Amino acid sequence: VNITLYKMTDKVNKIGKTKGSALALTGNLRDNCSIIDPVVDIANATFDYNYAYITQFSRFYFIKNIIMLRTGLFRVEMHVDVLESNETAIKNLTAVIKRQQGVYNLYLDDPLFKAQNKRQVQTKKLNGGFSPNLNSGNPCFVLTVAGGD
Amino acid sequence: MSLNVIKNYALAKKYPMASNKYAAVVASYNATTPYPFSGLTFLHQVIPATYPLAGGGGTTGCSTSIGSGWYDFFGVYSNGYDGMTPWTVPVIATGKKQKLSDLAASITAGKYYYQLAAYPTGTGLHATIASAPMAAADFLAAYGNKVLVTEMILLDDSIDGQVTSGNQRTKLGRINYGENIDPPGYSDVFARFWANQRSTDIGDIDILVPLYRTFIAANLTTAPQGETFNQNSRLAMEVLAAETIGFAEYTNGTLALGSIIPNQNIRYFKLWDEAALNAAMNAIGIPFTWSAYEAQWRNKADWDETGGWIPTGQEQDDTGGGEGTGDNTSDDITEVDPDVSVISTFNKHYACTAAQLGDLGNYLWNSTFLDNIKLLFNDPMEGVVSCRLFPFNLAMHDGSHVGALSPIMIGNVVTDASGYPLANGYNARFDLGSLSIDEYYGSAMDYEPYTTLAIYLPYIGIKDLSTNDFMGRTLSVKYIVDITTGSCIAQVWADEQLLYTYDGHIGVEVPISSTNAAQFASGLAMTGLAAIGGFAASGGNALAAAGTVLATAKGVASNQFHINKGGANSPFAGFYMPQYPYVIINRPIQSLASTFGATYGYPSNVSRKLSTLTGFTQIDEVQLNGVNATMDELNELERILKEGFIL
Repeated sequence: VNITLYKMTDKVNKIGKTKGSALALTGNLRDNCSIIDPVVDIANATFDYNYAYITQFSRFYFIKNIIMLRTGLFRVEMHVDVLESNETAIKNLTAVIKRQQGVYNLYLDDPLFKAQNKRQVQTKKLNGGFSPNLNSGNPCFVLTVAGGD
Repeated sequence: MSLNVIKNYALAKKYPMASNKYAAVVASYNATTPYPFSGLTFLHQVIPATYPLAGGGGTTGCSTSIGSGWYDFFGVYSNGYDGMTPWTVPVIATGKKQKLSDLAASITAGKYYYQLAAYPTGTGLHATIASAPMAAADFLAAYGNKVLVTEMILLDDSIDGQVTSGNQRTKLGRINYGENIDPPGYSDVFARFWANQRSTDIGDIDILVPLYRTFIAANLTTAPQGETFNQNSRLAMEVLAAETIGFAEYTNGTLALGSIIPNQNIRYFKLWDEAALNAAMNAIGIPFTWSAYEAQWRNKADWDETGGWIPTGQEQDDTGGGEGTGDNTSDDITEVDPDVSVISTFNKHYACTAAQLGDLGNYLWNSTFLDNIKLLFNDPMEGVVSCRLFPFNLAMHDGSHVGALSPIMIGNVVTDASGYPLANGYNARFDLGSLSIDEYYGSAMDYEPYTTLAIYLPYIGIKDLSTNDFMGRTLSVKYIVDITTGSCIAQVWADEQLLYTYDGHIGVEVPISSTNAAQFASGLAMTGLAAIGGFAASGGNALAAAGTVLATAKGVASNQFHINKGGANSPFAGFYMPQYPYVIINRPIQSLASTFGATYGYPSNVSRKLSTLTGFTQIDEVQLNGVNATMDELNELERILKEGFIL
């Protein structure tokens, strides 16, 4: 099979990974090779790659494990990267977005928000009130007496 | 197009600013091809136009190239321009709105506010003064809840869909809200802006009624409605007048009713109800958001409801249901002033000073009074029903219910003491002010259960309020005091809605005989009555008890904050408490990691095509249509999409 090896440094859950320099090789598939978890023997002097593309499968793969069989021969165990392999189709999907970095509604309750145990207590005055002043000479008493008009 | 290119005016080929031009928005409609009511498209013509220094106003500059009358086009209306070379570019708009109460610092004593005529009366578009001037404080009190548009910005929307952090939309010149501009106020003007180019003023720009005629047509309830409304500028102005109130600020309170405001230092306002403003802005037809950030930095697909305005009842990507009426209007709750001039004809009420009560006390025990009163009562004190002390000046508060100083009559005996007779059934009303409750975080953290709200009410205590009832609204407190019983009701309003009432007791019962003095002395502090020499026979005992009673009252007051929010103060202890209401806002201190959004994302709950998003994304649900993969791969893909991935 035709394999292109990469040194990928992005997060595994990113779509549109930066793959770095590529090395195109030809390898041999092991018997009964899975398209999801293929195992390939690759002959090369060294092997320090972590990402691959297999042309025949049209899929990108994470390299899970590398076993050196002998000098210059490596057995490479891989697992399909479903995000990168289906990038175009995924981006064409319309979904109900649960959380998003840039498109959000902060008025929705977020259980992930954290708050400190100490709290901020603010007091704000209204601008009206009473003014008890008994000795001002103002009529502040109400006297009710018997007898109508 | 990179950021640097956009910011370099010399390279901004679309905007020939070097020739002192500004961008104006007009439609390609004219008198023979009127604008259809079906709603505007997002595509408008932007015309760079030179503002002639000696140019006339009105429609002069538009008569040949655009239309024969001001109402034949919509958009930004200039006082005249020439050399128009239209090209087409889509635009979006953003703006800033502020409550009048938030602009109180500039509405100060010495300024007067004249309401403008609702629509022109006899002098073209020129509005006249419609009412006597209001002082600044009265103006604020009456219209503090209204909203003023203080800024409006138009941006080039030709890159919608490709807006990124390095490629934001470009402002079409700088358009500021205009003040101190040429008189008079134009009642047909939705908003007026003063345009400048790099600090050089180049002309005024008005957004006219026809710009939002769709909104007006939709809100007409009387004929002519719908299409027949077309071209009827007077009707448009009448509808606008129903949605706004025009004011002119003038430092000299001598302008006559009906006159046109002269050309001197005047600021013009158009005050809106906030909901009407939002609806009108949306009805302009230009994509609009109140969020300047969204306008400049977000593709329209990423606008959310926090910045934009979707008026059609059911907001997409926000709320569920679909069968509701969409009617979220409220009726203003108004107070009642009952016609109860007489409750009891058996008693009379007087407002008295401490000295006047002392005079009465002396008089009660002289022989003349005793001889007269014994014809009616066994005990002369039976003629005095009650005496209460209130923390306000009764005569000053409400002169209409308080008579002139006159002799106090007990039964049919005219005493030597004087007082101010009070109308029967008189309840004193007090406005204890208002407070705008604003969001602190601009998020769910500003609401329950995170942020809690309580209010201290004089003579009632501290009461819990629902934060959700008041956030983003104006809280106000009014008291109704029953002068006869000393009881009070505190009303807590949210804008025009009365949401809470609390009972309290504000009038202190003053002992008037040995019998009821004994009842009250154990519970009331009497220090405030020291000036009433000789009035109460039991005054000495009550004063002796004052020290211990006060100590208890302070203990109750301090404990009340922590133990019992619901208890009312004893009336006199309440005199020692704060006499104004205050709001207690208890909010969390959010701990937000700087990479929170990139790591977890924020709650979204919108439907989007994934290609329109960037950054961390977590989906709630998706149909994996069009993905050519095995079942195991599809299952894994769905799991990853739901756990979160990065676009």
